[in-house]
Amino acid sequence: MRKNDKMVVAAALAFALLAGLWGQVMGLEPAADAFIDFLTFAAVAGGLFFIYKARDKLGGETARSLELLGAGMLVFVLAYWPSYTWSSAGSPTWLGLSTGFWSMLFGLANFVGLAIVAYAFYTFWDMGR
Amino acid sequence: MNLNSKDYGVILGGVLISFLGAFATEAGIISSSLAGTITGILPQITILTILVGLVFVYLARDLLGGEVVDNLDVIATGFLIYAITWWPHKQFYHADALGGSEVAFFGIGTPGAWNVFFHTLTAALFGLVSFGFYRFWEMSQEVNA
Repeated sequence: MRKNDKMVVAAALAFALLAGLWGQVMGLEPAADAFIDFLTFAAVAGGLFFIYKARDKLGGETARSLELLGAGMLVFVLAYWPSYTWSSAGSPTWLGLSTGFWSMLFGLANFVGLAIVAYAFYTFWDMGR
Repeated sequence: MNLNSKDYGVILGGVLISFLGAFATEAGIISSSLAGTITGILPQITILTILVGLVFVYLARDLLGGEVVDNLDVIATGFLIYAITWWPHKQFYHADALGGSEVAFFGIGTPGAWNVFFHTLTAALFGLVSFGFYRFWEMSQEVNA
């Protein structure tokens, strides 16, 4: 890992700590909750944009592995984004479907998204082999 | 797209299983007690699956080398911190795996502070993962320079 990358990792952790301090002082505002949910979506969406831009030029197995990472992140965020709102609202019945339905859907889709990410990591290894 | 048919099978099969599981729960084919067991253990399985993926990143590092490894390191670091902080986040902060009671722990801070911290951390870590994807894009520009 490059030195700059370590700075980015440190900045990400510092950002979360500062946000935690802010939460300590301000309390948990519903607006902050909604903003954090949006921030998560935006963070993933930004990455998907760069995968989309990078894949044609990279091509081949690298592009394939990146596309798998992107597919995993997409499935994950499409589950995470509404599940955060749903969970904040106290896990209610939504659209006439029970709490059990949404628990199962979000739980499975979270798993599937990150399992696709793990599969993508496997394809990176497989590519190097 | 550079995905092969097996990749599409994994992606679409996974999404299909998610919906089938949810509708089977709604219809009572999966009993509510079994559904509770499944949704209770799914987060643990999810985190273990990420950790298995990270083992492959570790194994791939020596094989691939160069800038691809630098980029993968960034992405893997994001997922590693996510996996490590997941336990205090879900198992302690959200006492229930899916949105249970929320607590302040270590006697420090309010539940609201932990809430903002853990969820902002999740957003920041996915930002870190996306930075790794940006680095792949940057690499793709150099390839064609």
